Order: sequence, then C-alpha cells, then structure tokens
Amino acid sequence: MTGSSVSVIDLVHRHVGQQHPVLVDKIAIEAGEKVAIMGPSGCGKTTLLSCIAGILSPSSGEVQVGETRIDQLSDARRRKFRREHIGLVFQEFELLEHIDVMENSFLPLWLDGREPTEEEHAKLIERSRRCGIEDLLHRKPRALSQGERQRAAVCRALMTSPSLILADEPTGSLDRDSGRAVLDLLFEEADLTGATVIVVTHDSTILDGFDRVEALAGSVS
Amino acid sequence: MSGPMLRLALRSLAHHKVRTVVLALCIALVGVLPAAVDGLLDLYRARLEARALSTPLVVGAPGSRSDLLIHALYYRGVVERSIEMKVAMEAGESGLGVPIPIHLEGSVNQYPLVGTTPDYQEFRGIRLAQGHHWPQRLAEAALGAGVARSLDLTVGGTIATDVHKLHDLAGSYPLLLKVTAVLPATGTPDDDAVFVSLHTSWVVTGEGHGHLKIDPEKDFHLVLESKSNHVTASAAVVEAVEVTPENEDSFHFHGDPDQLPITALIIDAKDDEGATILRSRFRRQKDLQTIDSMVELKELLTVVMRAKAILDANSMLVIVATTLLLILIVTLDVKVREREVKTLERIGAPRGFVARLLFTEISIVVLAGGILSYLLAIAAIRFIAEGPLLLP
Repeated sequence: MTGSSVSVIDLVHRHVGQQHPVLVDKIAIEAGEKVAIMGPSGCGKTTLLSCIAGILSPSSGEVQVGETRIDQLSDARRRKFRREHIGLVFQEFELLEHIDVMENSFLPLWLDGREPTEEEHAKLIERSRRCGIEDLLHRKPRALSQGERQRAAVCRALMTSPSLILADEPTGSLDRDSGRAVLDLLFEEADLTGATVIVVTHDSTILDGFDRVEALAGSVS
Repeated sequence: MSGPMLRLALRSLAHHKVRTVVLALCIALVGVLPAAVDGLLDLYRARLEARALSTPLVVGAPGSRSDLLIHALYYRGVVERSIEMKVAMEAGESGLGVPIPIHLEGSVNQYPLVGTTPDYQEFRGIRLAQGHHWPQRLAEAALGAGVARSLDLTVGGTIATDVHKLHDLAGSYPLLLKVTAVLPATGTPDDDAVFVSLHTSWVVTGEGHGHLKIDPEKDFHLVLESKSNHVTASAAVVEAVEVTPENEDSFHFHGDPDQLPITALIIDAKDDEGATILRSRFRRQKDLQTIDSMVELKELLTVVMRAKAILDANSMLVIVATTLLLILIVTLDVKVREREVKTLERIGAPRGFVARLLFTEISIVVLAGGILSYLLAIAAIRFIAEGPLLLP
C-alpha cells in the first residue's frame, strides 16, 4: 500500500447559517508526506480536513485524493471511499462505548458489511501490540485511560490499511507525553505502509517528525 | 440484515439493559391480554362446543334458553324454575331414548351439587378414576377430579353440603356425604361438580328428610319439648345430618314422587327419529321448552364475541398508543445517541446504515417482547384452563 497525494484548489465551504465561508487557495501534499496543518481557531482547519475526508462537500473548488476528485463524488461514494481509503483519528477518540476495543477496530469493516479475515485479525493483534494495547482489546472504552483510548482509535483508523490518515487534533485531549506517543505511533504505522498523514493541530510543540507545516490564514471576514 | 449489523444491535441493546428490558416488558404486557383472551376463548369455545355436541337435546322449564343450557350442561347459575320428575318418567316410557334428569341445587364447598341417575355415567362414558360405583344410595357422592384435588378427598372421605338457608327457623342442616367415587379429569364441567343420586339432592334441598332418634332420658340436653308421642329437639345443636344404617329408612319424601323437581332433562335418544319425535312431543307442552344445545351455544357465543370485539378494539387502541410511544422513545434515543450516530457517519457508515441499525434494534426488542408476550399468554391460558369454566 502506498500513500495518496492530496490536492486542494480554491476550496470554498460555507456552513449553513455561518456568515464567513472557509477559503483555501491551494494545498498540495505528496504521497507519503506527513503534514501538519496549523492556524488560528476558526480558520477552517477541521472544515478542510472534513472536505478532504468527504465528510463535508465543498461549496466550490477541487479536492483530490490520489486520482479521485472527492468533490465530484456522490454522498454514497464519498462514504465508501472514506471507508476504504481514509483512516480518521479525532480529538475525542469517538470510540463506541458499547463495544470493546477489538470490535471498535473492526467497525470500518462492519460498516462495509463484512467480518474481518484471518489476516486482518492477525494484523490487528500485531498492530495492537505495537500500540501497547494488546491486553486491552476486550475492554470497553470506558475502562481505558485517555492515552489508551487514542491508541485504540489509531488502531481503528489503520484497520483498512488506508492510503491517507487524517487526524484532527489527535493530541488535544492528551497530556504532552501521551500526545507524543500517539503521534509517534501514527508516524510509525505510516512509515510501515507508506500512508500519507495529515494532522490538524494548533499545538506548535508537537511538530517534530512532520515533513512540513501548512499554515491556514483563516476565513474571509 | 448482516451479521455485523446484528452484532452491533445486540451489543447496543445489551449496553442499555434497563431500557431494553423495560421496552420488551411494555410490549409483552400490551400483547399478553389480547393473546391470552384469544387463546382462552378458543379453548373455551372448543370445550363448550364439545359439551354441546355430546348433549344435543335438553328439556327444561320455559324461560331463558341460555340459562337452561348453562344449568343443564355446565352446572352454573342460579336455578329459578324446574320441571317435574314425571317428564322424565314419560320420556323413559316412550322407549325412544334414555332420559337423564339433572337436579342442580345445593353445593359442596361452593362446587355445584348435581343430582342425577346412574345413566349419566354411561351417557358421558365416564370410567371412574377411584371407586367402583356411581352414587345410588342416599348421601353417596362422586367427586369431579377438580373437586377431589382441590378438597384433597378420596374414596372413603366425607364432606358436608353447604347451608344456604342460614335463617331457616325450621332448621336447614348440611348433609354429610360419603365419597364413593372420584371421576377422571376430563376438562369438562364434570371436573368441578359433585354428583349424587336424585334422592340425595332432593333431601339436600328439603324435598325429603329423615328423623333423628332422640332418647329424652339420655339426650335430655337436646330436648326442647317432650310429649308422650313426640319429642322436639333443639335445632342449634345439630351440626350435620349423617345418613347411617340406623336412620336411612327414616328418610322419606312427602307428596307425589312424580312431582319432585328436576332442573333439566337430558335426552339420550336412541336415534335421530326418536330424538325428532321426543322433541316434537315436548314442544307441544306449554310448561316445557326444548333446546338444541349447539344452536343455543352458538347464540351465546355470538354475544361473547360481540363483547370480545369491544375488547379487541380497546387492545388495538392500546397497541397504537404503545407504538406511538415506541416511536417517541426511538426518536429521543437518536438524540441521546447523537454522538454515536455522528461517529458512524464520519468513519463512513453507508447511507441508511444508522436507520437500519435502529430498525434492527427495535425489531429485536419487539421480537423479544412478542415472544415474552406469547409465553406469558400460554402460561396464563394453562393456569386459567385448569380452573373451572368462566361461566356465570
């Protein structure tokens, strides 16, 4: 698996009921790059990430991941593309509380209507060992620490061996050491698979390991 | 529905145990009443029809036809009119069938006391579970299986009849019955009746009586008044009348035996022709009425079905109200689970996945509630079916 390049050109996204649209002139990220996106609060970092993931549909502009123009896909195809090619990590982990860590990791496969293969099962065990949560696979999220939860979320994001990993403030709810550990883990996994990593953050102390930083100016006022 | 979807739904239901159990219980309770009523009605209809089919021709006093049916076949209700024994005699003399008189008055521990002849045993095809003969002598009794079980009585036991005229100054005493037979359980009204000879039932209702032997010298504490040829005893001290070999001969009936009362006459006709002739003869007599049990029962059941239709409409309203509440709960549940729904959408849940997941969860709860409702209804039907028929 190799990483996907990401290209964003003249992106405009106007939230319903929001006065100022989010504008991004141009971002070009090479396959396999590790890029941090920074900017002041409200500048549209999360919106940009959501547009790249296909969670939001831009009002205008181009969003391309690999060879695929995300902005031109239907909602159903964007969802499918997301399941198959993109791993998402969120600030608040967003693990389902009623299933254990292993089942949370299998969630992207379940959403595709299938059970994990033996190979995928073995990969999860191996990955969970690297993430240090091998013994926690059968625990519910509420029984885990914040750091363990985020590592579990990383395991879920990597379940489908995505070519693009998008992380939205992945260290925002963690202390400095735990945050660093999670980022290192993401980078390690990305190095193993060659996946592209885009991390949205406002924390300038975690920039070690990124290939470069993209700064967003903000929305038009 | 895929395996992963089912698993997710089950995990969610297990996680919200209290909500799941409460919802399933609500559905079960809403469903159990109509299901149990339906089941019980089917059961009772089958039992009532079987009884009516086996007892096609009944003769009784003019009046309510359904009352006559209920008295003669199911031994229920308060008997207000009777016919004379001579009707049975005449039917027997015709040679067209066997008349089986039923005298329904008096009770034993609230169970109906049925006076009849030994022909009843043959007519119903009863093979005794205990004992060797149908009660023929005075104060002998055959207990229905339900009565014997409920009162814990077997052959050789004794039991007193109930006193209905507590303020009768002339003295109305319970008669001590000796159990000589116990009937097998048949799921018919026979299970909950006490059978005696006609003579016994007439003694119980005061048509006949015996005389206690009182020796004024020994039983001076019982004597109210003593004359040379007559002793009056105190009524207060007699707890029950027991028929013994010594006093059996003293029991007698005043008046014409043909005029002694019976509640109804079941006709076990020799054949269809005999039944038709007898029916025609009885119909000509103004002081009698003849009923075709099956026809009367169907009319009675029509009334029951009308009442059931009201109950069904009520149940339907309750079900609609419950469904609306269920929809409200699910809508609120989606709000509560907004975060979970958002997560599923963000990591790529297909369109409609969340809706299908919720539908799967609701289906499981409804199914569980339905199964629980069915099991409760079955249990209720079994429990109630073991009791007496629900007739007035």
